[in-house]
Amino acid sequence: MSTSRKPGRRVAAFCVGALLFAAAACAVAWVSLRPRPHPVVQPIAFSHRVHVSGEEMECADCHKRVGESPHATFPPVKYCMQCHEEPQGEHPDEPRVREYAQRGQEIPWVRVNRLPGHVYFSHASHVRDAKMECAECHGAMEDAEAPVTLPQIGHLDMGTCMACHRERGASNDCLRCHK
Amino acid sequence: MEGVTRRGFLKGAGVAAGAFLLPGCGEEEDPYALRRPALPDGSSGMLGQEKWVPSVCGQCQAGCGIRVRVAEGRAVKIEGNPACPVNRGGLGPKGQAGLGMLYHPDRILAPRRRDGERGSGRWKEVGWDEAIGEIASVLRDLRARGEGRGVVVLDGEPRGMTRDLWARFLDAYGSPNHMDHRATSDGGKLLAMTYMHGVPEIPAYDWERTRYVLGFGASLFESWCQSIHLTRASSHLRRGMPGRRVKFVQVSPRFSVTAAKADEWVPIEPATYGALALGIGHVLVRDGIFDADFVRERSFGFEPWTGEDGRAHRGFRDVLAEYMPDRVEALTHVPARTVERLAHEMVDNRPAVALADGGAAAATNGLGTAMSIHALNALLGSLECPGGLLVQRPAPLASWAAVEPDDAARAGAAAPRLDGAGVSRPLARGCIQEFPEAVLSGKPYPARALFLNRSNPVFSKPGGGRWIEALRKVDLVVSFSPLPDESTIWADFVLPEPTYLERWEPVEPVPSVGYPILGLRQPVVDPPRDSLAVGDVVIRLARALGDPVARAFPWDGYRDAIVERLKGVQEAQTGSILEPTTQKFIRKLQQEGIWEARGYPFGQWEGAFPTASGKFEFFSQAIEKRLAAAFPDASSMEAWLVAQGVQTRGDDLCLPHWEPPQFAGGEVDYPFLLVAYRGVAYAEGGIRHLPRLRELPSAGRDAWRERVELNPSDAHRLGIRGGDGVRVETPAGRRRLTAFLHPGVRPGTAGLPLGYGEWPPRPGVLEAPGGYGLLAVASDPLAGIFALQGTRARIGKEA
Amino acid sequence: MASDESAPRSNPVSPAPARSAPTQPEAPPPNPERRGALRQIAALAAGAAAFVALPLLRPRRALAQEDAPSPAPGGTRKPRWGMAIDLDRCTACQGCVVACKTENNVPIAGADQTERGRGIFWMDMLQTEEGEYPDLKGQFIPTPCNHCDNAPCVKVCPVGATYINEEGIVAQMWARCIGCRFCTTACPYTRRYFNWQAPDWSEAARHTLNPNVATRPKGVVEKCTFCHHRIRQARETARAEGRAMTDADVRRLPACAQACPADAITFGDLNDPESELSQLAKSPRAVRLQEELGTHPKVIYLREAKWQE
Repeated sequence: MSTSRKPGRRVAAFCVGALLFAAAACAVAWVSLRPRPHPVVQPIAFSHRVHVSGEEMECADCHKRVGESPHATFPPVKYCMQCHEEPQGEHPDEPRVREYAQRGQEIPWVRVNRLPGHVYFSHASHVRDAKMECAECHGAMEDAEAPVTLPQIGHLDMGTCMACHRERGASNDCLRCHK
Repeated sequence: MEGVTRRGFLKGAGVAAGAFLLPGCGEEEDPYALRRPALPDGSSGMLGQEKWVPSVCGQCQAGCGIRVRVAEGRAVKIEGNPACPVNRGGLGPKGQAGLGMLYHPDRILAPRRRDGERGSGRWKEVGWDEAIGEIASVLRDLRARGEGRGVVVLDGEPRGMTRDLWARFLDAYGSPNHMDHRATSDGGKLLAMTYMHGVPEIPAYDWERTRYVLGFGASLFESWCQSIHLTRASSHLRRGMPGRRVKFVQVSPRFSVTAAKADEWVPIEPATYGALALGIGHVLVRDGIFDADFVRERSFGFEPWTGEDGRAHRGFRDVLAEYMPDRVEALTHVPARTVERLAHEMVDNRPAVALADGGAAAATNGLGTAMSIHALNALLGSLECPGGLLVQRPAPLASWAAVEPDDAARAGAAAPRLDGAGVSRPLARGCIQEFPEAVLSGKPYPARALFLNRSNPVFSKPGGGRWIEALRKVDLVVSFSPLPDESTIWADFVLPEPTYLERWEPVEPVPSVGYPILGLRQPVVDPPRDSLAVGDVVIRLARALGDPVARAFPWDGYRDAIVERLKGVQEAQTGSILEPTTQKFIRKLQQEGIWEARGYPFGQWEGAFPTASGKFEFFSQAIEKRLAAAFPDASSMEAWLVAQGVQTRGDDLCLPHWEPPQFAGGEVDYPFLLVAYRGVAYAEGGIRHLPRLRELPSAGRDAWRERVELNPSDAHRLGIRGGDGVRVETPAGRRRLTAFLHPGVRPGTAGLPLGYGEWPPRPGVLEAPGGYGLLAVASDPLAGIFALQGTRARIGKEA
Repeated sequence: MASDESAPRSNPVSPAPARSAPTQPEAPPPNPERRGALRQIAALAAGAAAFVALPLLRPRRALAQEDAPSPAPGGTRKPRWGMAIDLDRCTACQGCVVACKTENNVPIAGADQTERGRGIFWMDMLQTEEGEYPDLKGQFIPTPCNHCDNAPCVKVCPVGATYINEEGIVAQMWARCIGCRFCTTACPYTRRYFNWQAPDWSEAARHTLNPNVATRPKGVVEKCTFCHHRIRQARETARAEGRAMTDADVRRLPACAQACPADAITFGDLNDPESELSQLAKSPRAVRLQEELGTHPKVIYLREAKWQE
C-alpha cells in the first residue's frame, strides 16, 4: 500500500491524508480546550494518613464491601462513630461527624472516582479474586493528608486495563467490562 | 499505512475514550451515564447500597407477590416473589411497569384544595390538618342536619383494610352509600355465587388438577382477575404433566389472545352465552351423563318441587329441557353438533370447569347467564372437589370490635342506597353505573359529599359525560388519587395517598388457590414527605368528627388498626409463619412478603353451601325472597318487568335461565355492536397514564392512539382503511378513533379496547374521555349488572 | 505498529501520579495525558485512518470467526449461551417485554416515534393472524435477539462494534457504534434497533434506571444482550461462594425469563449436554426461526402442541 500506481489509490491516499489532518486538528483543539476536572469540596477534612498510617487501619475497615461487591463503598457514619463517639483529637471537623450521626444523616462524601457510564468494574473481582492491592490503582493513600478532592484513577484508561488483563491472563472480551 | 492495524486503532480509540471520559469529567459529558436526579434528601444515595424489599403488587387485585430491587435509594426493578402462591416468582406486564406509578412525572405529592372553578385545574397546597378539618366540618353539619346519608364513598377496593375502614366509618357516621365497582366488573359471577352457593365472593379454582376448561368470554390470559396465576396454571396444565394435557376451550365473539391461545375457539353471537351453557346442560341431562349423585345429595331445585305453601315450582330440569341443541344453534350460532361435543368432552375429561368472567355476564341478561354457566359446574360435580371450583378460604384476620351506631347513624344507614341496589335493582348488591342519575335527579335524596377512594369513575365507568355533571353537582368531592386523573380534576380536595409501592397494607388477593393467603404491602421507598395513607385520613376524619363516630376508631393510626387484625393470623398459629408474638409475626411477614396456609379441605360439605336449603341451589330461594320483598304482589311485578323489557317470568327468575339481551341504540341507526374489552395491560386506573404499558408490542404503531377494531369486510364496505380516523357514535357519546382492521373481530361488531385515552387529562373538558365514554348505562334490570356488551354504535369514516 | 506494552509511560498498574495527588489538593491536576499529548494525537490520527481502512479488513475477520470452533480451545470449556421459548406455555402476556425494557433502560419511545415504528423492543412479541372470521389462527412469538452463531449483523459492521463474544453472545458495544445501521438492515429477524432520538426520560423516570446497564445515546444501535450483566453477576456470586456457576443459577437469569409467569423461557448453556436448555433443544417440538438462512440461531422455539396430540 506504500506506493500507489492506480489513480484510484491516489485519490484514496489524498482522502486519508485530509482525514488525518482534520483529525489531528481536532485532537489539538480537544487537548487544549477540553474540560479539566475541578477539585471538589469534601464535607469533612478526612485524612487517610491519620487513619491508615497513624491508626494502622486497613482500607477494608472502612471501605467494607471492597472484597465482596463491585463497589468498595463509603463508610456509613455509624462506622465512624465506633471510634468517634468519644473525641479522639482536637480537629475542628471531628465534632461535626458526631453532629451528622446525631441528626441521623449520612456524611455527604463527594465521590471523585467515577467510571464512564458504559464501564463495569468490580472491586471484589480485583481485590478478592485477583488479589490486587488497593494501591495498584489508588496509589499510596496512606500518605494522603488532605481529603480526596480529585480523582486518583484519572490516569487509568482502557489501554491500561487491557494491558493489565493481558499480563495477568484475564479476559479482554469487551463484555467483561462494558455494560 | 501498514502501521495502522486493528490494535493500533483500538489503542487510539482507547486513549481517545480515556481522555474523553475518565479524568473526572462530570456525568454531564458522559453520554452513557445514568444521570439520576438527587434523592428527596438531596443526596445521590449510598453508593453500591442495594436491597430487595418484598411486597405485593397493586396494579390489579390479583395480589401477586413482588420483590423490589432498591439500588442506592431508588426502586429500579420489580420482580415476582417466588414465595407467593399466586404468581410464584413470575410477573406480568402490569406488575413490571409498576415503577411508572411510583416515579410518575404528574404525581400529586401534597394535599391541595381547589383554587378556582371546579375543574379549572387551579389548586393551592393545603396542610393535612386544615384539609381534614374543613372536610370534617362539612360532614358534621350534614350529620346534624340529618343529611348524613348523602355521604358517598366510591371504593375501588372490593376487599382489604382500607375498604373495611371506610365501611366502618359509614356505619358509625350513618350512610348506606359505600359503593364498590363490582357491578361493572365481576358482578355477574359474584351474584351467581351469592344466590346459588350462598357465598358472596367469586370462586377460586383448583387449577393444578383441572383437565378441561370451558371459558365463556373468560379472557383468561388477558383481563381475568387472576391472569398471571392462570398463566402459571395453564403452563403447568399443558406441559407440567407428561402424557396429560388439559383442554382450553374459549367461547367468545372476538378472536382474542385467549381465543388464539386456546385449544379450541368457539365463536358465538354476543350476549348468548347463557343459552349455550343451558344447551350443554341439556345434553348432559338428556344423555344422563351429569353427576346425578351430586345433584341428588347436594343440590336444591333440580327436580320440580312443591313448596310448603303447596305451590308447585319448576325445576332446573324443566328449564334445560327447553334448550335443545338445534334451538341453541339458532340463538347462539354455535353448531348443534359442537354443543353436543362440548358436553361429552367435559364429561369425558373430568374434572372439568366452566368459567364466566365480567365480559360474559356483562349484559342485560347477566345474572341468568352467570347462573347458567355456574350451574354447569354443579351438573358436572365440579364443586369442592380436586380440579374443580372452590370457595376461597379467608385468612384468619381478627375482627375489630363491632361499631355501636347511635340513632342518627342507624337512621342514615337504613336509607335506600343512591345507586338503587336492593331498591330499583332488587337483586343487586351494587349498581355504581346508575349513581350519576340519582345525583342529577336528586332522588331519592341529594348526594352531598363524595369520596373517591381508588376510583376514577369519569374514566372507568359508562355514561358519557353524566359522571362529570354528577361530580359538579355534589357539594363536596374529595379524591385520594396520587395522579391528576379525569375525576380528580373535578374534586374540591385532593388528599394524595402514597402509591402501592410506598404504603402499608395487608392484602387479601382475589380468590385464586382456595386456601388462605395474606400478603403484606410495605413501602419499598419512603413515601413523599407530606403524605398520609387513606386509612389514616379516615381515622383522623372520624376523630375530628368527635363522638360517636370517633369512638369507633380507637387507634392512634392506621398501622395500629392493621396490627390489631394481623394479631388474629398470628394467634391462629397455622400456615407458613409461626411466631410467638404479633410483633415477630409481622417482622417475619415483612421479610417473606406473604403468609399462606396450604391445603384446601376438599369435600368438606358441612357448611359448604350457606344457602336457605344448606345445599347448592339451582333454584335460589334468596332470589325468591328478595323479589317477594321488592314487589308487593304479582301484578306490580308484572308491570315492572314489562316496563323493563324483561321476558322471563315466574320461577325461571330464580333459576338459571336465558333471556334475549337488550342493547342501547337501535339496529338501524346503530348497526355495530360494541364489544368493549380490557386487554392484558389494563392496570388499576387504565393504560393511558403508563407509557410502558401503552407501548406494548401488541398495540403496534397505533399504541398512542385510541382504536376501534373492525373486521376488514365491514371496513371495506364503509371505505375505511387501517389507520383511518373514524367517527364512532353511540347513544352515550361520540368520539374520533383510529380504525384498526382485525380479522378476529366478528362482522357486525366493533372491538373497543378500554383504558386508552389522553394523558394527562385536560381541565375543564366536559366530554367523557376514553372508551367508557362511548358506553351507555345499560344494566341487567333485576341484578344491576352493567351491560358492557350492551351498546350499539354507528361508525363512519371521518371526513 | 505500536503496541500497548511499548507505550512510553510509567507502569500503568502502579500509578505514581496518584500517590501525590491527594496530598497536594491545591496543585494542578496530575495529567499524564498531557505528557502523552503528541502520542495521543498520533493515535487519534491512526484511529481515524483505521476507521476508513477497517471495512476493507472486515470480511477476512468474519470468515476467520466462522472457522473457529464454538467451544473455546484449551482447558475449561466456555459456555455457549442460548435460550428456549416454549410457545405452548406462553400466553402472550408480554411481561417479558416490559421486564426487558425496565431491566435494560430501554427508553420510552413516545407517540411520534412509536407511530413511525421506531419503538425499541429488545424483546418483542411477534403476532400473526391467518384466515378469515371465523376460521382463524393466531400466533404470538416472543422474539429476543437470536444470538446467531453465524450472525449476518456481525459481518456487516464496519467498525467492529458488534461481535460474537467468547460465550456466543452477539455483543454490541455502544461506544463503538457509528450508527450506520448496516446491521439493522442485515438482521433477518429485525432484532436491532436504532436510537433515532436521544432517550427521553422524564426527570422522575430517571430514578428507575438500572445502574448495571448503560443508557445509550442518540445515533447508536442497540439490541438484546442476553442480560450479560446478569450473567456476570451470577458468575461473581458463584465465585464468591467458591463454586462454579450451575444450570440452576442461569435457568431464569435474563430479565425476560425471570419475569415469565408461565416459565416459558429457559436460558442456559448449549455446550452443557445436561442443561435444561440442551434437553429442550432435543424436543421434537424444537424449531429455530428462518434456519434456512444458515444463521444458526441460539434461540430455540418449542412449537405449540395440540390437545390429545
